[in-house]
Amino acid sequence: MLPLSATALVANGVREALASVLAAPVHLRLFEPSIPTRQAWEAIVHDASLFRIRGSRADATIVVRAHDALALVHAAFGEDGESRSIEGTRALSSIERAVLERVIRAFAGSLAPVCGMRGDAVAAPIEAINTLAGPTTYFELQLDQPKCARIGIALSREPAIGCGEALSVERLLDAELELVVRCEGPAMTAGTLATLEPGAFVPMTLGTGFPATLEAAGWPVARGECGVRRRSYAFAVTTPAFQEGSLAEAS
Amino acid sequence: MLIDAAIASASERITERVDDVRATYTPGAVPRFDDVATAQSMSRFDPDPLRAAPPEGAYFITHDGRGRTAYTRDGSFGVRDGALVGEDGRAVFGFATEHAPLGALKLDPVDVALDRVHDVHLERDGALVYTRDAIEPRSGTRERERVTVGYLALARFPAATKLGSVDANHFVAPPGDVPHVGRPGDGAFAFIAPMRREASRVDLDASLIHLKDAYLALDALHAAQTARMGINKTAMDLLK
Repeated sequence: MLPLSATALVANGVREALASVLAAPVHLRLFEPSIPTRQAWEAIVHDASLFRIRGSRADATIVVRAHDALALVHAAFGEDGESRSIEGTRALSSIERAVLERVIRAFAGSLAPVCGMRGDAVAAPIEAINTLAGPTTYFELQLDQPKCARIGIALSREPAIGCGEALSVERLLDAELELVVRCEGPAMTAGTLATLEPGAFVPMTLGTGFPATLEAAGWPVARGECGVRRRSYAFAVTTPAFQEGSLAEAS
Repeated sequence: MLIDAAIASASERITERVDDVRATYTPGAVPRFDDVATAQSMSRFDPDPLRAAPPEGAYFITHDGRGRTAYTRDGSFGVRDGALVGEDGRAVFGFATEHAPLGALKLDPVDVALDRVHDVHLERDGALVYTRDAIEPRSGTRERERVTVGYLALARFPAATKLGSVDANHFVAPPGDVPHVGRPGDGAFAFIAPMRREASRVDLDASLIHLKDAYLALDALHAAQTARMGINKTAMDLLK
């Protein structure tokens, strides 16, 4: 099933595009994607204008029923008045038809997340068709403002879930990481620990050096010893992380 | 054999009285004879949200299957093929919008086809309403929105108008009579009562008494005819 997040992305894109072309605030909601039955497809395309957009991953068909088409055209002209009724909707004039196609072309680019075309709304090619051939998924956008109209979108197939290009290691080499050195201190009794206060000193001297673990983002990356080198504190690596199993054994 | 006109009339009266008795338990039935009508309409609670009782003196509007507009007080509705229909399956009329002409009330066909229609019910102002789920794309929150399909229409006839019967609870207007048509709660009509079902206006006791009277009248006519035939025969015998 088409992911809801993808349809939400389309809806938001359509809203922005319509707000731009209609020059008015647009309130739009989304109906969840579904896979209609044959009878349902007949109801969906009945009395509707169909506009196909060929994408790289799938073809999308925009379905606009007659009264919704009229409402969109009215909105484009900035007209008031009632245009929504289930029956008795008149056919569009040639000018209105051209306006409808222009409105659809304006938001056609927003379908990129589901059909894979380039997100260039102006260049998105649309073609009017008469029948739907083998659609699978269908979802609708409900326009509430500036006019009540519904825009259906049928997809020829489910978008394939693919992996994008991975980041190469080379591109990560310049990333800065915060390091933490975790020292292994001497043992201390609980009573002594309880009496620690500002100004108290805890002796860190150990018989076998000053062992510590170097961590990055919580992951141990090396094991070694803390000390002073050239008058600066330093961590001397004794066992790097890439030496397989060495850190695991150490911990 | 010739049937006496008076006896034929009495037989027809019995048939009509039987029809009234039969309609005693038909919801929204109105009797043929006013003498068996209850003083006022009554309705009973019904849990079906597509049931409604009309205001006093008002009728829901439908058709009789022969192209004629029909009127009924039986508010036992349902949804079939996306349209509001009466119990007989015929479309019930209303107004899709405030300025729309009278017509069948139809749910959005795509909502019906995609099974988005929930909680279809009638409200006291005659509104046929359902709910459907929508998603706000920016926040992803789901909302249940209310969709008004339209409003039931009501009709009222001038007082003393005698409607023609289609069946026990469907009637047609007499030729030339045009009812006043409006919406529940529009000022001319009172509100409807949702989830109630109009009972029959036929009083069972009264209808049985009058049926018995009709049979007695037929018996009396039979007796009178028999006596008349006997007298005629006697007269003919005397003449011979």
